[in-house]
Amino acid sequence: MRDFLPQRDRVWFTSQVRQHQSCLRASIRGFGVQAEAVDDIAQDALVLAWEKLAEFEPDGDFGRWVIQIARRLVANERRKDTRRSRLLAGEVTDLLLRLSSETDGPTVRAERNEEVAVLRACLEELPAHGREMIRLRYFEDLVPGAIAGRLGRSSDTVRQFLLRLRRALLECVEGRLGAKLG
Amino acid sequence: MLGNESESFDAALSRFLDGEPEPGDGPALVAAIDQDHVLGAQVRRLLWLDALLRQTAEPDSDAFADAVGTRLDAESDSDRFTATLSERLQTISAPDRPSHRRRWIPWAVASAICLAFAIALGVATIRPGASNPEPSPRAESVPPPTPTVSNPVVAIIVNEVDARFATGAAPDGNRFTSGEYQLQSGVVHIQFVSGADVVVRSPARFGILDPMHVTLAEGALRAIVPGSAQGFTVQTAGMRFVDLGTEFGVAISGRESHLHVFEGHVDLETLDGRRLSSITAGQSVRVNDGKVVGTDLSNLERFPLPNTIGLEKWNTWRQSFQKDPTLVCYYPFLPETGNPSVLKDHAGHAPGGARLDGRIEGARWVTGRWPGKSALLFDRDGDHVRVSVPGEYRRLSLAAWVYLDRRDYELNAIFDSDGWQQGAVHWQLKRCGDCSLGVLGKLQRRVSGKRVSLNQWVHLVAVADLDRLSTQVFVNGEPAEELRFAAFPGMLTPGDCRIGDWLRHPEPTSIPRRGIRGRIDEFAIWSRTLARDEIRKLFVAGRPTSPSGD
Repeated sequence: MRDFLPQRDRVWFTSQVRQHQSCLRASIRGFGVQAEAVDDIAQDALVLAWEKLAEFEPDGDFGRWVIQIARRLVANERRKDTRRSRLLAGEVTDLLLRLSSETDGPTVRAERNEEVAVLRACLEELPAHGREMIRLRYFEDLVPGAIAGRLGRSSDTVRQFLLRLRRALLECVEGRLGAKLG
Repeated sequence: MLGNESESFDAALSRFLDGEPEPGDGPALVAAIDQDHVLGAQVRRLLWLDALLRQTAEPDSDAFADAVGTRLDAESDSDRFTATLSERLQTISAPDRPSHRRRWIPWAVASAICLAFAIALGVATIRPGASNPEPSPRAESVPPPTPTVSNPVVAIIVNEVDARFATGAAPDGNRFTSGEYQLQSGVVHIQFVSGADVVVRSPARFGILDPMHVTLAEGALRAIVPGSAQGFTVQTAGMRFVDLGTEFGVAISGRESHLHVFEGHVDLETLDGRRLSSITAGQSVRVNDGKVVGTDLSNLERFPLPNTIGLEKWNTWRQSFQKDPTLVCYYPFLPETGNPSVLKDHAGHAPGGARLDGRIEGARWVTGRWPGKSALLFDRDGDHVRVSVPGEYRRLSLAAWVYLDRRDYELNAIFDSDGWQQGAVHWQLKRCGDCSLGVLGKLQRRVSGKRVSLNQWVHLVAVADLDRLSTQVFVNGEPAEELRFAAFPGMLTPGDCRIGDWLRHPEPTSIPRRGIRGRIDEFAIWSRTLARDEIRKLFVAGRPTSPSGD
């Protein structure tokens, strides 16, 4: 049974959650988890982190620690019954997990606000039809088939356009941050 | 990578990023990345960018962190109670009681596990944006006594409706230690670590001495005591009612105590332990100044049942629920006096304030989720309710409480448009228990999940969203079958429909009979998609009450 940690630990923990949640959720998505399942797994990882807080080194990197917990949860997900898997494709997740352990990610990342601000600036640089496509996909949460229906194009065309937009945004964001994402 | 290989990789990658991978896309991506690890890093960075784009689109950037805080609060509360209960079980002793009355202790271990499980179950359901599905009873601002090792938790509230305790006489959240309590309004269901269940109706003043002893100064209660908690005692002024493995009610009326034994038998003892008489099932007595008089109590409904709470809670909840302006129709399955063949729509939100009343054909009124709640029984070919749902929709949600006896056909209809034209809606169960909402679109992918069980009340929700090109079904608040479509021309137009059956179709290849075999006691349609938290709340608000309300 875990000991009940004093309130000051909870305050500290909450501040760590706010600081690292963006990176944690992006990392989980980067393991090939379905977008709708990312927050569930991130919550599970943070609850586990809270329960195991006594094991966390005081001068350790909380962000990296909790991502490692999430990494194990995703690996467990791969071993579960696949009747309703939360992964996009199991074999791709295997590979992404392996690649992430090889690179092990940066220890210091830009603050979420900075990343989001940079991303917003890059969105502004897109041509109008590109911004509209991103708006439909992410802000209205339409799937490519629904966008295709609205715009009178094929789903494949919409998906390919979205891929080009994402690549352009990735180049822009990484160029401004001076570091690679993920 | 050659040009055509690059195009093939991009096609697979774009489907993967948009959550729509085809069966061969995974192996194709792995093969390409194996040849060039730079591609693997690119996939990871694109997924990362996708996550950032989703976060950028979130209206409240603190919502995720807040949801984590809510869940930690709830987890902590559950752990603290479990820890306290464990301490109690390790330290408790009963040296002053006969040995046969200590048999509850092993049972209490199981009870503790069950209680902890029940609480954990409630906690595990809390997700971003959700409030606690089981709010604690309200009390005034004076803080209640905090449970300690010397004053441990002996009971918890497992259910309540509209409960309000007096200032300074309230439990700590849902936890009772030894002490005096005053219930000013509502009904509470209390579960003791001994295994006894006690349901108290307001107004009531009662005391909890320990896991086996309560006092009653005002009000009425019902005690449901398993054999393992034999000896559970309710004490009133000058009298003890000692359970011998049974179910009984005690009420205070002026200077008199009333007892009714529903099952088993109860000993009446004076406060110094002298046994006066033994009352058996079906008997009632009045006690005044130590005198016991046999009587015939007429108003036994004043002794509340656990499922009394469920029904009252649901009745309170639906009064506000049915005001939701996005409800297209809402059938709580309450028979209309003098017109039993009408299934009344209680929403009245159709254009012009019209009600989409249904016409009952064959189906019969029977008991629903709780005693006193009605349902319709569909157990013969042709039993159904006809409803007409006009209008065109891009999004629809449907919800029903269903108790299935059997699945007789390949497809068993919960709610089906009469036809199978463009825009028709068909919500059905397969024989295997899979449940899906079918609309006439080009099916791209089916994701299976939780199945629908027989012989228990099950909450089902189906959501159709043409903008997401998907339909999804939820079983007891959890995701089940999901259908994704490559395209869907037009709008959803349910039109003339049947609850519990399908109009037999002349098409020879269709499945001619689709009638369900079982009961339905609530059904609603919204003109929007329900969020997952809302679906969970609907399930919590309407689920039958445990332990004896199941």
